[in-house]
Amino acid sequence: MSSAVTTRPRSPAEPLLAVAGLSKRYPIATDFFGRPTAWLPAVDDVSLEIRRGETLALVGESGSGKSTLARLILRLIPATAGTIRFDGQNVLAARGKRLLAFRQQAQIIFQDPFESLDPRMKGAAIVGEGMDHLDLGKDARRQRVAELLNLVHLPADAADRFPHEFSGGQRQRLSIARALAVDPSFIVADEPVSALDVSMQSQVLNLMRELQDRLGLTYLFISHDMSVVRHVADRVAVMYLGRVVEIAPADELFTNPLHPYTQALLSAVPSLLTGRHTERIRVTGEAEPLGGEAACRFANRCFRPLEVCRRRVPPLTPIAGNPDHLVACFNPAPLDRAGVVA
Amino acid sequence: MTAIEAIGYELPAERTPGRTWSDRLAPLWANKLAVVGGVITLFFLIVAAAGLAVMVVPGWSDLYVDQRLRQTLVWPLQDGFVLGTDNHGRSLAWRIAAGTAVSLFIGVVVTLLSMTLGMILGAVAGYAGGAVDRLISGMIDLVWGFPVILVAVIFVGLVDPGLTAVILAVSVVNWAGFARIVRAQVLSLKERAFVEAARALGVPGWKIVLRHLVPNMLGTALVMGSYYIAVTVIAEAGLSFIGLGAQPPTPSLGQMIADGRNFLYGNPWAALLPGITIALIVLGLNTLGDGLRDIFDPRLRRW
Amino acid sequence: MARSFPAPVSLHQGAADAGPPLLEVRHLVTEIQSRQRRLRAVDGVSFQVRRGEILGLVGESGCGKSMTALSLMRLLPPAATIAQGEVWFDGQDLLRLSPKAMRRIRGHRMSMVFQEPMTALDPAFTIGSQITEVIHAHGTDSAAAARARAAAMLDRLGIPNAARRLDSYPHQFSGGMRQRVMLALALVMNPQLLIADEPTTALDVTIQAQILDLVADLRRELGLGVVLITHNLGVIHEIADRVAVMYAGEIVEIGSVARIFSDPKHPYTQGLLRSMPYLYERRPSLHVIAGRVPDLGIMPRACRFAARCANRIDQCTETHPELREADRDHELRCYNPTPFAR
Repeated sequence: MSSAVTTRPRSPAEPLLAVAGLSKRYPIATDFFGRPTAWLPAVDDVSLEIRRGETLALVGESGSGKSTLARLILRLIPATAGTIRFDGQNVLAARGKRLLAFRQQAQIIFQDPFESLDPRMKGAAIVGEGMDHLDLGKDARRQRVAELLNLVHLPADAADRFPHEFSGGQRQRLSIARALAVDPSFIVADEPVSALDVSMQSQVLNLMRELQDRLGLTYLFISHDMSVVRHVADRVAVMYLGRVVEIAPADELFTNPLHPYTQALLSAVPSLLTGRHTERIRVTGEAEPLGGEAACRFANRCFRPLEVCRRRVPPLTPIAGNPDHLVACFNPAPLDRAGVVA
Repeated sequence: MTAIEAIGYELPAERTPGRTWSDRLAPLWANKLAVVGGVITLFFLIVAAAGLAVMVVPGWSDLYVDQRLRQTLVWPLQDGFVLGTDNHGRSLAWRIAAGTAVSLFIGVVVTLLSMTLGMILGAVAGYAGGAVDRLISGMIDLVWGFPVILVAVIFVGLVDPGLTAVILAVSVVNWAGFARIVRAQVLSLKERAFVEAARALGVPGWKIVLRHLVPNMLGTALVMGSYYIAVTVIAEAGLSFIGLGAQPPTPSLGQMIADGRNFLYGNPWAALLPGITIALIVLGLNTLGDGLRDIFDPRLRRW
Repeated sequence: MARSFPAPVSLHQGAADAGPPLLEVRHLVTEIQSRQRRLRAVDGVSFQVRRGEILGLVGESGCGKSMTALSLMRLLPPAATIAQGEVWFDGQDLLRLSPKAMRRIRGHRMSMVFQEPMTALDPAFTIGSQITEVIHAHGTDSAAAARARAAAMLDRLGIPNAARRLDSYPHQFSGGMRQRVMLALALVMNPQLLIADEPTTALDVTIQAQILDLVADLRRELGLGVVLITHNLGVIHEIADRVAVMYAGEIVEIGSVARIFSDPKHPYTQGLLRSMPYLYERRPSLHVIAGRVPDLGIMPRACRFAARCANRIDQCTETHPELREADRDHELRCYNPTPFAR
């Protein structure tokens, strides 16, 4: 195992981002007067921390609420409940100048490199989008755009080209340059390589790691692909239907997954990528977004449910002997065959 | 980075096609109907320019106002009149040219007015949402249901019959058509990731509207504009026909049909020719609009 | 780290029989009409599929794999035409059949499933009526018999309460269930050949695993031949018997899965395998395949991969390599193959 990579030094100081009790629910039915009568809890009482300089991967399948959580953290959509502290500041209360300051600190990269760039803007305008408030002169601005393009390994003439002239990987590097233009310390990457071919994917992942090392960035890396997560993450949080079900350092999570959903996710990874054959855990059914409130959301698909799972919500608690490994399960158990990583 | 890896960061040596105007216009050329529409529209623009000239250049107005009492209701291609004369012996050719100028002028002015108003209100409604959206959407639904004639009657009561009344009446109804489409477009555009990225960068709302939403809607606006000019040409002709629109001596195609219908036995062309002109103008604009739609429709786009 | 890929799962193997091929594609050329010229999207593709065999067709976006599939079904978009080649299926050349005869084969003897099941199902009709429509188009079953047959098929594909779900509409099904319905539509007439174009790409990994298990079971039970088109090497390795790697409209390497994954010889195949992140190791950086796929309009006359190839020799930029036997059941289009090192 290449341990030189997995143990990067980091400061023991307070977390860069602390989320507590964060929830977002959408009305899905209303009565005659337009008052909501039923809610879809897209993000349900999520608490987690992101440490300075680390990559926290957020894993989950469609409908798990991972993208909603990312947009809540960046204040792109309003939260229903909870708190977000970024660098000690209350994000949800920020207005005006303080909100703008937060926006410069926290940036986002999107999944679809076709969707995330305005097709009618050239490279320079795209990268310079966030520079307006910097009051740079025309030359200084051009200079800064050139620096940023260089930083993401795009040639200088990318400034004069439209998005459709780039490959998928190049477009994704252009959106990274746009995010870096405001000199952020924190970047949310929402499935940044899911829409890319394998060869493009490795370019972008390499670049993201290089930038993290050079600029000391902190990443929230959202993905459904366990092998990509394995490659980038220092810690991993697994979400299922709006709740975090397990959170642990990456090595720990991949060698000792305890939540049955995490175990199912890992066992669904093709053997080409896991490097060995494990008998697949056959999880039946699919995620049903409207589970009962007072129950484990995974109970109906679980392969080792208890009676209590259908009556109470399992709290996210640290396991004995490892305060960094938290799991929300009444019946956590290592699987002898689930040590997916040898 | 190794040398071989560096190749990965190169852009294609050849710029991909689709940037030049000839490439952009290629779908228009490919669409034969649109070319026909464009040619017809261009023809009537030239006719309108001639019409405008005889109306504004001092001394030229004789061409279309001069009455020749000995030469009334001359059929086309007789006595040296290409399109014949009306019941006052005025040249139908020059009157149609002048009427076309008036029709297209009204069409363009009304469309510019209603497009500006409709785009602003539609964009505000779509982007702001909430109570603002409900208010503007309510106005759109209300106005959209109004018959143009009714609104025109109201305006004729307020100002006098004439082109001002026509412009106001048709604009008041037409903006709602633009606003509906623009609102729907903004609603879908603002969910696009590049708008979200701009918001995350702290770009203020009005700048997002100007920088991302408006340019991405211009294609739609252009297409709708060409349809709406046609709609307005018909509305103006209709209002002038019943006497609510252009008043003599201002020439108008609708008014010419109204005058000519009394002399159908003498010279049917006096009523038919302005009618055919309206039909051709509308046909040209609509086929041109279809071609423009093909150009701007991303599903049909090839670059 | 010298670690070889695991041998493919044995229980999936060996289902193919030794008789004459079920499908034989010979030198298929499919062209797309662009404004000025005809571009070759598929250029001289040949392969065979036997009864009970799964052939994986793998490549990155734009390599021609979907065009190949659509050519086999003769379902090409209007701008594309088959310029050359033969597609022998069941003793006849499909490319010479009348449109009417082809319609009788399509959905009956050979079927296709697509990536996005939502767009392939008509939202205005129940699942039952869509399946019985297929039955009536190809058979003379009574209404009751057709309904029973449809229910039996849904049941076989693991849809609970199949008889009752016949009256549901597509939007009432989840993504995984819709893909099962698509498979039911394709398989209800008991075809001999299934063409699956990215059937699991839009699905979550746990659902993907379910669908792949299902396809593997079906081919074993029904002796179904399958052409599985995907960009995902992990999926191919999981269930395919043979694999054809496509690059820029051509097959560059074809052979048994066991051979190609243990001893890939084409630099492109090797590059793909090296650029993937694996679950069992964390590398400081991922391999990058330099450059990009040549545009269809400016295709090099010599080797199409030469510009991106690290093993390039002079010959590679002078003449076009042919597909040649490299080993038993292993063909290769390369002048300078080198042993695979990860």
